[in-house]
Amino acid sequence: MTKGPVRRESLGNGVFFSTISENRFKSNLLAVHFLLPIDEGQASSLALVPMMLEKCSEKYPRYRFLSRRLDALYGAYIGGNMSKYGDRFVVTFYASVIENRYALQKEDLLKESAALLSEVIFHPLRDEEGLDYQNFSLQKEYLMDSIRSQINDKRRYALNRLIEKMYQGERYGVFPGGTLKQAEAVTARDVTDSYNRMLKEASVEIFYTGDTDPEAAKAIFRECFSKERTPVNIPKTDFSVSRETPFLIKERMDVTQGKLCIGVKTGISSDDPRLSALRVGVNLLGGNPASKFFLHIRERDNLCYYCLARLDRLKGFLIFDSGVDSKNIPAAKQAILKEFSAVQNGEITDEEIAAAKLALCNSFRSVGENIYSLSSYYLTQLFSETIQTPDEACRQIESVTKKEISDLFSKLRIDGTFILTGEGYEHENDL
Amino acid sequence: MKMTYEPVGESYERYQDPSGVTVLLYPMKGYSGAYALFGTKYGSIDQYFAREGEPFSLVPAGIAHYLEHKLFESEDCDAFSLFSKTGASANAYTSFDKTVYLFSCTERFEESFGILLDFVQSPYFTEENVKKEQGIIAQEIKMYDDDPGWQVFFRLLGALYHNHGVKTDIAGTVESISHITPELLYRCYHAFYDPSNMVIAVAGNFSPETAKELIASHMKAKSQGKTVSFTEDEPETAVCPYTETVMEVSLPLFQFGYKMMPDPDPYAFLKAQIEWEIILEMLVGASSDFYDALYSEGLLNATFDAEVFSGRGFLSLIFGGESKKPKEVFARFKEMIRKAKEEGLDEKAFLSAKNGLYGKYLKGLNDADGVAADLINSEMAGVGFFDPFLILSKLTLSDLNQRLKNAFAENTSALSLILPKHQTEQE
Repeated sequence: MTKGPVRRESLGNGVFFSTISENRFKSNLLAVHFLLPIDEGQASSLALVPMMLEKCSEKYPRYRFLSRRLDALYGAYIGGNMSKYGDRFVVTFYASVIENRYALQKEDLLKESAALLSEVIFHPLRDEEGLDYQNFSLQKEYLMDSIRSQINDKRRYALNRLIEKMYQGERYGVFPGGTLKQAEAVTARDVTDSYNRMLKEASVEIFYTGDTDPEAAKAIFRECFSKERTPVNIPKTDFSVSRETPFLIKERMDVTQGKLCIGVKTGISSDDPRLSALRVGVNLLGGNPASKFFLHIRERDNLCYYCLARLDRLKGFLIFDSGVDSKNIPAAKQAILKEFSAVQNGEITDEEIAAAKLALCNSFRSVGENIYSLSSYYLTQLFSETIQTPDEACRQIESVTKKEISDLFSKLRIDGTFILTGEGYEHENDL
Repeated sequence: MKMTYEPVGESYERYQDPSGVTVLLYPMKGYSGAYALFGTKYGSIDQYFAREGEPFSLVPAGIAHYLEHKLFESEDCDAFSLFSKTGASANAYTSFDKTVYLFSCTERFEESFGILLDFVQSPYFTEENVKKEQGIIAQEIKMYDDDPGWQVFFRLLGALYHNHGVKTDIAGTVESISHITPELLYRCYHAFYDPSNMVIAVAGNFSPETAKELIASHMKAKSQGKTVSFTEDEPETAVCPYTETVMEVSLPLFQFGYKMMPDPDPYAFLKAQIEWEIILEMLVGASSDFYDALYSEGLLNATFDAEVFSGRGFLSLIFGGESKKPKEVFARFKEMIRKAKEEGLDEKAFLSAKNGLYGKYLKGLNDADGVAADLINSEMAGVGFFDPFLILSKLTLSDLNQRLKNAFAENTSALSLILPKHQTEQE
């Protein structure tokens, strides 16, 4: 398949290699993505796989040895993480190195970088039982630390609590890393099992972005994935809609600024023809500095420091996210709901639509400006039935009408609200 | 003047417009977006200043940042709404030593560039619009009050610096900003938004000829002379060795730092920064004995980071992260430094760290926004954009050892801790 600048080919066994030929950057990027269905039982054990693998391997049994190798490759980068794209877990390993043309000794840096990445993924440090126990216990401790430290970032914390409640009882309600309780219960055996399952059962998408010819890198991965694999079917993402009666969760913490987060489950999939109207509607509501939230709630009424609306296209939900003085939360909530219903009723100006379209197209056209955003843009395109280049997405955005937006928004409703307040908050009953 | 760096085959143009503003233009092949920055050498540290031949004024903390917020507004509309008509994405930031206004766009560069040049030159402050901003900025300050990373940092700076403005929060306090008036804003504006104190940088996809024409036609005022910003001398030693507070965090957060005396010569100052960058990588980076040992003992996690914290008139080395036993981390660090001074730095590790930094600088040229920001930073620091590459290629191990030998005196350091509300440190 060739689409825009991307060429995707099969390496066999459920593994695909996509090449994005791009000569503007000084470095190139390899991203190996393992796609699996969300499985609550693996939330913690699978998250530990990239955490452990990026730290050491058979050939580099300590992180410092790996790190020295990276320095020798002109500050190359190797890293792994786990994230959620719709109802999928995606474990990703990255390798980034400067382009061969800048190597001071004419080294084949891309080949070295691919070899190092495959070493990290396929030859982890092991003991008799499976993946190295010492590394496991250290990383497990760090995973638990990072779950505990989620309260440090109050904005992120509030958003996660909202999303968790919105999707309680659904696959999407599970977070990469899992809960503290799940992380605590994970054994080294579980992680080894998750690792083996990932290698055998995941769909694999490899993306190469750069100028150096990737044949050598491709050959390395073809060899690594030459064993028989049995990729599992990843169920389609479930695009559920908001509940009938919205929920409200309030939490208190020792904070100076409160957080107010509101969620909407649209039921609109990333293949829905109404997606572009949804994008424009969300953007004019709170996605740019000429939006209703920014101009009315922040600038005119001074009700919040930030107040944004954003869309998760891969799961079809909206989040209205704001930082508000605790005493202003009731007023800010009223104001947000008022702007939302204005869009539902078609109270949208031509300027608002024009500004939203321009802002969206500007961000689509900027996708190619950063090597990571370019690479991940085309990964997420694979989750839709048709692949769109940024230019095609812009053309659809430009054709959206006011009526399409209000028709669509009039069918949406709030799923629920999460509020984080400081001490001395007196308006419990106003909400 | 054209500045070129042969090994990467890239160049930029630097010149002074008749108004006095310095211009840097860095076109990048193959890019679809352009980034334009218009900045002034004026930040939160410039609280005490005078125009040539006039008496000194002391202004409230946070005023540079406040001015940045207000400058977006003009008599009839605000700059954001003008940019929303061109589709550009606009922003601004205030740091310790500079204020920068910027936009990025993929289309209609000329219109957006004109808007940027105009609004930065058109202050409009009234009693009413100045008062109105207080609510928003107070909210911003409160948001940082809840940010443990920000708090641990400013508490450290407070422990390190006696006089330098860097110890004061960039946004000021809810109290200090309540004293800001239109008159004070105009005074600061005229003192620091003089073309001779300002820099324009553009990188990415744009026509340098068009940019030059637009600058020539949009620059209104000629330079009215220099402003002197005054800072009291900073003693070599820290204020106090230790500070702690309690917040809603899960693990103790720590930062410890060492205050250095910055070299007044810009090139020597840059050389010091780069040498420190390499020394820190060798001493506490991912390949070091120190990090390897503390990481595998569970004393440090991936949040650990070391930074050469520097700007106009300040330079510190800052180390921070999360740890169950931060005091032990600091003690082990001091022990490691003592040994490193005794034994000197390792030649092989030096070459490897140097290689790593070369790659890092090269990757810094990937993104047009980063290039534009670095153009402004290097110009305001008084050095060339490609100077780091040149300095790096000439570094020697003996220079590094000399630098290490003379640093890390106990009385130049401080430790700042944020402790969890619900537990006490187990040490």
